[in-house]
Amino acid sequence: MGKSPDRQDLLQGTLDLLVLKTLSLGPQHGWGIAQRIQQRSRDVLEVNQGSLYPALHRLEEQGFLLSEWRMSENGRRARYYRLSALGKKQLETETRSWEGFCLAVRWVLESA
Amino acid sequence: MTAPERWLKRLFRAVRRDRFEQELDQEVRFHLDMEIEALVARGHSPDEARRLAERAFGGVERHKDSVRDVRGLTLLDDVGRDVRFGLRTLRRSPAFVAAALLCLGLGIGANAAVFSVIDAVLLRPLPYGDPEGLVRIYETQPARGGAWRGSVSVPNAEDWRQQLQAVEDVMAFHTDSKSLTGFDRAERIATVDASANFFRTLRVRPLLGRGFAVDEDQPGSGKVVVLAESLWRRRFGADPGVLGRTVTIDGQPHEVVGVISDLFTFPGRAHADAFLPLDPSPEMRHDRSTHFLGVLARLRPGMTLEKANADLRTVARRIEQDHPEEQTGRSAQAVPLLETVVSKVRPTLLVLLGAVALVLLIACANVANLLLARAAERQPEIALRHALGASRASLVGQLLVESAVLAITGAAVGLLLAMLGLKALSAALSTALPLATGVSLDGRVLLFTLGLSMFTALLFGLVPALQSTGGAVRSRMADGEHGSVGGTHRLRSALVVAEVALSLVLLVGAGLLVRSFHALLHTDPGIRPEGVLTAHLAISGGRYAKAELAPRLLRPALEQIRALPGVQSAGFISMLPIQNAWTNSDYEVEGEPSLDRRLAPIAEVRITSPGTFASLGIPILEGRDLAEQDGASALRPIVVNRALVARHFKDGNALGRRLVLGRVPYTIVGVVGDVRQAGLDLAPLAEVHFPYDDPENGGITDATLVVRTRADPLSLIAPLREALRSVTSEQPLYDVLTMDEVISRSVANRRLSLVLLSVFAVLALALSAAGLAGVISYLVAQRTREIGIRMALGSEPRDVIRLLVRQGSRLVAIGLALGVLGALLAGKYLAVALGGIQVADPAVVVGLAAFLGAVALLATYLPARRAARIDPLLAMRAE
Repeated sequence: MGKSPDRQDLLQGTLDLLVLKTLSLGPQHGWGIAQRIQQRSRDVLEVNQGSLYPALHRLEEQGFLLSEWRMSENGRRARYYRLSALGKKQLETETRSWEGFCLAVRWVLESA
Repeated sequence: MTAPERWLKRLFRAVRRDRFEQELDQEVRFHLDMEIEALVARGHSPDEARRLAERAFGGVERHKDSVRDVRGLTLLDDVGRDVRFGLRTLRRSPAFVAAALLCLGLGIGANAAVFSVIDAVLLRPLPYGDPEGLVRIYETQPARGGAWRGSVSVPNAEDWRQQLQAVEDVMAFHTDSKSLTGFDRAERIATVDASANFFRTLRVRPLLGRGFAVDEDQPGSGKVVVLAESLWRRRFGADPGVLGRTVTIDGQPHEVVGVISDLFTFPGRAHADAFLPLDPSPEMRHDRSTHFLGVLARLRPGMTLEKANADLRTVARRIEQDHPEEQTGRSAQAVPLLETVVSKVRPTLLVLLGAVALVLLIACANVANLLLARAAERQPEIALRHALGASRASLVGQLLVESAVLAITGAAVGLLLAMLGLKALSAALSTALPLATGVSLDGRVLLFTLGLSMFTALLFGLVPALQSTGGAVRSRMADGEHGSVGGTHRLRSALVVAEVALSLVLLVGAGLLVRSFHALLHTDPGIRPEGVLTAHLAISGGRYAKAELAPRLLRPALEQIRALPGVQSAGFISMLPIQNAWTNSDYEVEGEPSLDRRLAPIAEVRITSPGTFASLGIPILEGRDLAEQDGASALRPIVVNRALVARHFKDGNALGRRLVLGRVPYTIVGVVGDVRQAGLDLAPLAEVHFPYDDPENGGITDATLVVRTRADPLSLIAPLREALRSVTSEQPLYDVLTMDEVISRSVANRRLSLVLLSVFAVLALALSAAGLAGVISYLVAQRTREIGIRMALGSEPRDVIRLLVRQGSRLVAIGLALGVLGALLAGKYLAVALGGIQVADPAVVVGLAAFLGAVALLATYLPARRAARIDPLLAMRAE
């Protein structure tokens, strides 16, 4: 699957934010998270599937996520991730800082 | 998740590594399967879908690795790999490993053994509840100096109990020995007689039953006893039904109310068989001039020692004012209990700890030297790994892991040696040290040893690791040179110098101890111990009135004993020289009243039968021995020793002069030689002997029999028991020892430290000689080609040997010079710590330095001689 020119690589560091946001809507397994991000970004953002898992494990290690094994919708065992209380706070923090970042970029672009 | 939790989880994952891998695999597989399903649904063929899915995922193993990284498993993997690699390389050089393990095993083992003793004796609190709050209270006489600490009279202990605010549970005790009868034969048991709050104060619960009830030390209350576990097992077969049974102690029935564990030890009584409520006679309850109690108390919460002592001084002043007759000049002092128990042995143990630390340092220097030699051989390997991209940090890490593997294995060897050593020493330990019953290689010792081995690994491994990975690693691989590098060379020389210096310090320390011990054994004890047998005669309380003891028991017994074949003379004395002292009384010389009552002279007091001086070999210098019926004489005859005469009678004329003790005048009828009452290392004290048949002062309740024999003293034990049986049916003889044994036991503590220190010094000597030989061999190997050339050019083997020995002896000389300095410092510390040691004993220092120098030269000569035998042609082709 080659990259189409209108698809964007994720900015370093934004993957965490998107994972947290996606999981704030409910528990999900890794593949599901990748799919959701892609769908909700209207296919603009493509998650590098391989690098998703180190990120998930890191977030769990940091205490933002919890995981458990559950039956998936097609009846197979899958590892589901969900937000911890700490993760919810982290999502707020990261959302605010992302918005601040966007705003700052826009000021710069519009100042010309 | 907190940091510790996270590490716990990581550890758990490392342990359940298979499960973690399985789950990771499952998770990735699930992802790929979902992706394939989705692609197939979009119309791809299954094969194509799989290919596309895997490509979209990227390198599966690479991502798995990142997950492991995140989970902290890679670090553990690295260490694991280094350990495996280390084991593999170590297995390839068994000679190196054996040498290193021997050094480390000896070094670490000695430390583990000494630590286990220190842990049990100095560090682990006393076997009581909240032992930190316990203090011992002594009577003091400030005018006689701060170090004077005495026992306590019954009324004083009672006054303290009622009046002290800063402490609670003032508890009094004294140690005694009593007869246990009613079994097949009478037995002498060691007892502690204590006030009823004994167990409550110490916060100790009996194994079975109860301690004493509140009023069980009051006069007229029923007699009870708490048995020690050992006695309970020995005499009652560990029968739990023993509670409520009655046993006969000193002829009186006592009800058994409890059994206490043998782990419970009590200061001043290494082993007690039974605990009884203290029951002083009615006179004792009012007698402030007889001091025989030990007193313990517990600080109230929030109280400091200083406040307690201030309180104590106030109360003591009040008692002094109320009872000026007996109490003038007397005060009191509280000392932490642990301090009173360990203060005497602490210096000895610290000296030993210092010694084993030195041994370990020498062992480390040896292993570091071995590692340096090995590093030189491994230079190409290290250079190769460096060239292949290993960072210096990872190379150093790898070498350190190798060292750690060595150290831990060495620690295992050491623990084995420590176990054997402690087993061999256990008898000597328990006679020489208080609380030594708890010495064992337990978890704390294991932990200490593990920590020590890690520290050791750093100590001997770090420098060689840095050395061999530093600098121009690459160039060394290029020219394939095995040659030494200047830095390594200097380092190795420095290590040899340090080893020689440290060994000399240890040798001189041990030498000083040997010298002082030798001197101690040759101090004149004032008696002639050869051929003398001693035994305690136990006399049941209450069976004889005090005045009856001599005529009805002691005198007939002496008559029987003197009639035995092989007996030259015999006598009874209340305290055996060297074994026991500090029963004393103040006195005045008639006509020379002391100006200050607080400074009245003090003399040791003994009750002595005729024949005792002859039996012990104490010379009668003037006058006569005490005689039968002296106790009834109106003269009130006494015998004094030379120390007392020298103190008061400058003209040397003491016979006929009178001493006043307790307001009664006594006449000196004889002067005897001085004996060392309190041990070989303490100067003779002034001494007064009363006749044993004096109805007031006589009556020895715990008499020691002394018999001078013509034959082997031990052959007389059975006849003695037989002879006594004809006088009394029940009185057991106990603690039967020759006088030589009494003396040897009195120096057991010193002998133990002497033996241990000597062992450690010899160990150090052997280790450093081995280290020196190793270094010279290495230097020889380094210079093989040079030696070959020299010999090809006409050098004689003799010249080669001289060259190498000169090099070695320079190192030895520097080491010896530093060692002498260190030894002088160590000697100063030893003199302070152990006493009786001459700091700079030139004979010892010079002699041992010469000895060490000779050993060291031998250690250089042997490899040098081997070098001189090299075939020049082979040598030049070497490398």
